Amino acid sequence: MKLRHYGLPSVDVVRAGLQGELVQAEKMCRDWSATGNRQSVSALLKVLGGLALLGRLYRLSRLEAVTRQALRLLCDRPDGQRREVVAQCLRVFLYWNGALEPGRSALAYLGPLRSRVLEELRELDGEASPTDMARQYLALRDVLAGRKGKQDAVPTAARLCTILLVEESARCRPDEPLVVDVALRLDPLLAEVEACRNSGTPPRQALYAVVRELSVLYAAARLRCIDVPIPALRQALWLLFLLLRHHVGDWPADSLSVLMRQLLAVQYRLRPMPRGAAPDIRPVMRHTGCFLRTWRSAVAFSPTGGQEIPEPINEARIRDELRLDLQVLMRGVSAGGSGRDPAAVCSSLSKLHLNLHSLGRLTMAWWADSLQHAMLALLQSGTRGGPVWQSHLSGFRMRILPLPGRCAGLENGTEPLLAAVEEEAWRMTAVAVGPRTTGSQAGVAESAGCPGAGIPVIDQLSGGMNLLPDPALFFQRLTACESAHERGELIRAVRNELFVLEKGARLLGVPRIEALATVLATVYSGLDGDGGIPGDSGPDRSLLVALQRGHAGLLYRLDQAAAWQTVSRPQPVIEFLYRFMERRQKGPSGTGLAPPQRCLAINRRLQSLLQSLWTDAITKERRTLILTLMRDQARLLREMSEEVVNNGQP
Amino acid sequence: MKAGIVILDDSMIQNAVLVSVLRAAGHPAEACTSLPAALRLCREQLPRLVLVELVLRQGNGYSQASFLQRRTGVPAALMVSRQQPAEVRWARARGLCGVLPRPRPDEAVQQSVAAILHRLAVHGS
Repeated sequence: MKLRHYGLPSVDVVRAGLQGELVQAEKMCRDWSATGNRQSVSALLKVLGGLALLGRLYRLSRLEAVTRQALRLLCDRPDGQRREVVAQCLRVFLYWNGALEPGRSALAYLGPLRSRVLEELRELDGEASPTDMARQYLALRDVLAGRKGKQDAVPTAARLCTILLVEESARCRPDEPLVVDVALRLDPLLAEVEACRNSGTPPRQALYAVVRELSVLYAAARLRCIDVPIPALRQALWLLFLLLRHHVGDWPADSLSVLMRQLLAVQYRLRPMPRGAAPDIRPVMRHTGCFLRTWRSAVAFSPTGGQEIPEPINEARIRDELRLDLQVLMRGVSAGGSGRDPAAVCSSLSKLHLNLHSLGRLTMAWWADSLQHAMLALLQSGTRGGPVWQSHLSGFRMRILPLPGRCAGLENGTEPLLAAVEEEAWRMTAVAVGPRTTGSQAGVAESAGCPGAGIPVIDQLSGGMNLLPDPALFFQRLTACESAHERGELIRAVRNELFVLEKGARLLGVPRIEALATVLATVYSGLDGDGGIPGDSGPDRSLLVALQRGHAGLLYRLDQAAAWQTVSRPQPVIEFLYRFMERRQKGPSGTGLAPPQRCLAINRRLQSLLQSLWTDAITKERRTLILTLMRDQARLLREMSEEVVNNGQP
Repeated sequence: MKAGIVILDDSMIQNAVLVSVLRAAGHPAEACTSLPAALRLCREQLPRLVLVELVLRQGNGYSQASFLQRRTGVPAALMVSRQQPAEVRWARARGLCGVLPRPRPDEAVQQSVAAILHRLAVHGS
């Protein structure tokens, strides 16, 4: 059967056609309001879904937004708020009526075209396929929408069929279930996104394709054509829109990681487990594998293009350590779904969670934590069947919601509330992992850690450190370590805390604590540089004294900051630590405390610090000038101190 | 009189009020205005609890409470005015046994102190 040629009808005809539909929809709405007839709701859902899709296709964003809002309200169908929902739906229909003005030509033409196609589809016999019909319909639609001559990638027949049926609300084949293998369609798109990320190119085109795919699925879900979790789709779409809107150039690894996480979660949840089936750990293992692959590529992301950063806490070094952990973890995941492997993976995920947490990558830390709990839930409920798994799954879902207010309203598990909270959580997640700036805002969002920026930096610092607030315990453990490896682990842990403290102090505007934390971290990093603490003998007394003084000074100033007092000058402790480091590196220098010698020592430290700074932090010209001035200053100071020594003056 | 509770605050008026409230509730209490005096009291009388004001003219409550607890073994709690979450978390991180908000009605102070003492009795310091 061939599609009849559709000429372009007049605007009046178009308006009449669509208005007829809207009048019918209004009648159904009032009927539902008066009688509570649930059948009207299904019909209304389909109409609204179609309208929303029209709004998206033709970029009628305001109309689309209003329609989707009504769709959401209607989908949740709170009977107690029927009047409000009906009012919202009627308002939507009013807006659409108002949209049928001269000038909305594309919209006007689509209405009657759709009606004609519907008539054709109803007349199809059993042997005819709607695929050709769908292809021709889409071609005409593109022409009407002003995309004449543009050749999109030819979609598969199944997808065409789905698009058409979604748009037409499946009225033509009411008895035939719409079987959509959504996972297969998302798989190649996600693989393309991953490939783009690995090659370093922004995966914008692939993500737009994912948006289109998810939009279709979302509309189909709203029209009850397919059975998929609508909140997950909505979250993924929202995040995609936000990222595509705000990122033009570079794609921060964290943003993409969050996005991939959400897309993979959508993909995973698009395969609902059959009722009564035993829980299967393999999907979680696959999900874990995806997460690890995503994080591995994010770990390889270097903001300086691979340049070594010789700062006290070398993030590249921490990433290397994480990479080693990830390799072990990947081996555990890829080994299969036997009983022992998940347990080993659980413990590794726990460690990874702590490492990520200390790095400030709290979004990924949450993910690792959630995966670990999901695996634990599976391991515990594996022999007890479906209902227990479902309760664990809801717990797992709650864990991935970072909002502090999640507990109170979610215990009754009401879907609308959960959906609203989830949406808000992911909205804030997307904002939190938004564009990286050099200002404090992105840092606050990132360091605020918990996605959603709901936990202030100060709360994180006050509750997130274990070793720095209790130096006595730390040194007790340090001296009790039996091996260099154990000592190294402990030192790495305290360095991580110092790193987090340094960042937090910078954001909170407490430079004295930041400076002292930086110098103390420098002392610890120097331990690795010159061979560290000897393996068998343990830390020598001078080192312990220096570290204890540094820790005590830092802790006292942290107490002052926590008590809202002015933080004391850190210079005495900083001077002590620097002199210790210089003695340790160069041997006893006999450096006295005379002002010229002290100035000279400070000058050398500044030179060393400037030479280690990134070239993009201070431009080359400025850096050279500063170093020139400082060398000149050093020369003068040396001459002054020699003159003092020669003249015998103090 | 052997002190059950020692109070460290550099405000004599606040000390007097708190001592009377605690004594009315049946807790023998002594107050002092300096760290050395508090250290001496704790060593001599071995109280069950020492309450340290957060905001002091010399020093700060965290350092002094932690010092007293470490040196004498007497559990220390902090007295705060605003009870910010960060203050409570840092007190916990420093190993203090509780945070007492003030100013509050007398009954609330008594109840808070009783709760801290009960927790210490059950779980140990």
